[in-house]
Amino acid sequence: MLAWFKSTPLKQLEAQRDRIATQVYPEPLQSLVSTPLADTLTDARLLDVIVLDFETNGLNPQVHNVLSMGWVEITNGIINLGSARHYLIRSETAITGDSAMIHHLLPEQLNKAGLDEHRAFSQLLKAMVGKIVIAHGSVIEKGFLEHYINQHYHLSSLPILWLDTLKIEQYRSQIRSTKPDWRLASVRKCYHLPDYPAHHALMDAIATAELYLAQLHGLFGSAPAKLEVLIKASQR
Amino acid sequence: MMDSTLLPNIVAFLGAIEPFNQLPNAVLDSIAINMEIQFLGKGESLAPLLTQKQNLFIIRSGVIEQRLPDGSLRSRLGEKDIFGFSLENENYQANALENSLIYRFDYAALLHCVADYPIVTEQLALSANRRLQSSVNVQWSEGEKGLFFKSVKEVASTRIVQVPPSMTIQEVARLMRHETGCSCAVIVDNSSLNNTLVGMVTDKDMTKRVVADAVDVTLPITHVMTEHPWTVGNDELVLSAVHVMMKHNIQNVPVLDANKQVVGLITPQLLVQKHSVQAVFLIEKIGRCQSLEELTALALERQAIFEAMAEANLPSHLIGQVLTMIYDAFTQRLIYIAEKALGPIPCRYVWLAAGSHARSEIHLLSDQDNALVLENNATDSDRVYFNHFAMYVCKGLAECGYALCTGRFMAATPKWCQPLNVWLQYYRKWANNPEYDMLLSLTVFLEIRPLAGDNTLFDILEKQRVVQVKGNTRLISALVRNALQTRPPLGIFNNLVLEKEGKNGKRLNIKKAAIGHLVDLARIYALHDGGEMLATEARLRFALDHQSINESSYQDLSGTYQYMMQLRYSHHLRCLRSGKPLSNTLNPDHFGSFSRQHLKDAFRIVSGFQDAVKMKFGA
Repeated sequence: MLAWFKSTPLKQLEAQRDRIATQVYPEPLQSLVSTPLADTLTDARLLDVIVLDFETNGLNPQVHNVLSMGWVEITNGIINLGSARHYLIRSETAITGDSAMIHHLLPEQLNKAGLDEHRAFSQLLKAMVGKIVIAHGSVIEKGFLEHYINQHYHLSSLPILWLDTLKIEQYRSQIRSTKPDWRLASVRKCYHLPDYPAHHALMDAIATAELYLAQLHGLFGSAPAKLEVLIKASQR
Repeated sequence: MMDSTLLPNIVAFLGAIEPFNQLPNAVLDSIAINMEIQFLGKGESLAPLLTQKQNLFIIRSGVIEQRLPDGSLRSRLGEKDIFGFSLENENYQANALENSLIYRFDYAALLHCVADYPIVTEQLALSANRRLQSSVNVQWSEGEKGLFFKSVKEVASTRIVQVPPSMTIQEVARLMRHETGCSCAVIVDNSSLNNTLVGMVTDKDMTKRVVADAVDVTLPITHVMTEHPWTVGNDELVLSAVHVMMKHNIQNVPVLDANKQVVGLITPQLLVQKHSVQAVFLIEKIGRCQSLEELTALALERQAIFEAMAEANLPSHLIGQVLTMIYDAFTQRLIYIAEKALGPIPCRYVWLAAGSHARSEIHLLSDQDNALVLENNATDSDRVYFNHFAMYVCKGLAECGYALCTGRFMAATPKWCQPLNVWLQYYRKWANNPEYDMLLSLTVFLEIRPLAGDNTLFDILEKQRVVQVKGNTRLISALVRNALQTRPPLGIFNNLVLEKEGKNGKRLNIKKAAIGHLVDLARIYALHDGGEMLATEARLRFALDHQSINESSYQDLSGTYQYMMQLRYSHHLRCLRSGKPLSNTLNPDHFGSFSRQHLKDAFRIVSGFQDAVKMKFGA
């Protein structure tokens, strides 16, 4: 199993990195793809982490937009709110009534207070350099981020390490009894983490970061948190 | 560009916790972005800090216990509780009993954020004693009604010594001596037309700045005066005068009129006296009552006076003293009425107040502790008379709101209505054989004070009491053993040490939890060093003066005692206001996080004191 593990996700990332190594990309993308990946045997608690969340007006990066993004960093196992960022993103596409209901983000609000999409993503890429990236249900964040990278840098995918607290929870649920509700708030409840209002990108990012720390304790106790286990769980 | 509130849920959480609830959202925001979040799994400990930084922690969810280096429990903390690591003096380990989410603040950065809010700064102090003290002060300054909302001119003293700057120190001191009840002089520049206030001296200044430094008393007063003293305006509220006193730690505040002329003086004694007027009136009325019915009618007035005092948050020892004076008056008048009802007194006697009544630490729930001492040649029929007499007085007191003593430590109990010889024997027996069942009687009667009758009987008894107690190491160690039998609760609010109280659920008994302990321990120190004062605070002061405890222990203990007494008085006030029966038991759900913190501080201080007593007296 370890052989499979070593051959698949990380090998692919390394291979992809080798392929693009000859190219030079503009910053901050260049730093992001040229900073070496973490060793899979390291204790995940010692690694710098960025936890992010996007609020979007739909699930398809081809047609939908990121409305807001929030992120926070974890250093030495501690969530540092000084690193917390929350950006509303200006968008030409109108927000449909439904998504406005969920996110409480009105088009006028976004256009007035919002940041240009390119600047927001650049800030994010800069913050991601040298860190493991975590999201709850990372397929959305990954999809929108890679779409943006593809549009602006013509790079088909981003060779970085993602962890997914939703997947980790599903992996954990094989150990414990199955629980079908994988929404962030429900999963947090299992860990007795406090109720936070959902659908605010930064709040969700912080909520995810707390969940991640709780999961580390649940999975590993006081033993070293092996990164390879987390990667494997997140890849399923 | 960021939102106006970057971290709405964290700001909302902080905004619901004392003392952060006194801060505007903008400040909370700046606090929140400096915050760190930590997850402690069940069984994990907070890593010891490697840096010199001090941190403050708030528990967002979960349960944390603190343990001292020797493994003993320091306290147990839950959601919204605040704790701090102070490297200099608080050395303990914090362990998670459940998975816990903890908000961590850099203490220096936090203080910087709240710098404009001194009350919050005080409440975030790292030392337990300072926190307790600040809470006593804060409550005092927050008095809602009563005296504090009167204008300064209504209460200011107009007796004030005014002197010109050229006057010598000695002349000023003489003037101050002549003006009775005045402890300070103001220096007014009469060379200018507008008589401006230029300085102030107090009698303390005369000691500290003149006598202590052997200053030449023929020098002008300007050499030793305080220049530009703090003042209050005639029309300002008493509250602001008190605020000025506390903020600058001063006792005397000159009062100025609209033209900046000195017209009076505000002193703490004055504030207390104005309140005592009501009590003086009541005592006078009690002294004129001719029947039990008239007396019982005044019981409500006693309650009104208590409410006024508690509302104004007078220092607890003053409330205790005023209530004691009223209690004395009721007792003395009942004795007078009993004599009238039962016929003339057949022999000499002395009526004693004992226990908390003797210590002048009375509150509305105080029950009766009293005794009768008769002259030695009292006949059987004399004793029958005094049995009736005591019954009459004790029942009368009960009707006036002083509950009968459940331990039957009352003159109405034949055992406690005895000739002097028997009483002398009692003390001898207690002192020589301080066994457990004797100890309770002994502690009640270790404090006695004569209220009526023949004081020579009391003097003989008191002499015997002192002889038997002084230097009696067996007695002291019996008292120590007894005092250490129960410990204050360190883990309150996890239902560990609360009492079940009928349908009310779990309650905290503050008398058992802390007040009783402090009274016991202060008594031990005073007896050990031969102090004959009765009041707990005076005893603590005595222990400090005899170097039995150091300055910081003294501050801790007297601060804790005052805090607990104040807590009891304000709880009684709340009961009265809400029409509920008075009790010494508090519902912990009604405590804010900071009150809980104060209580835990208090219990910790008491517990530490018990350990110190154990070490010192080796029980």
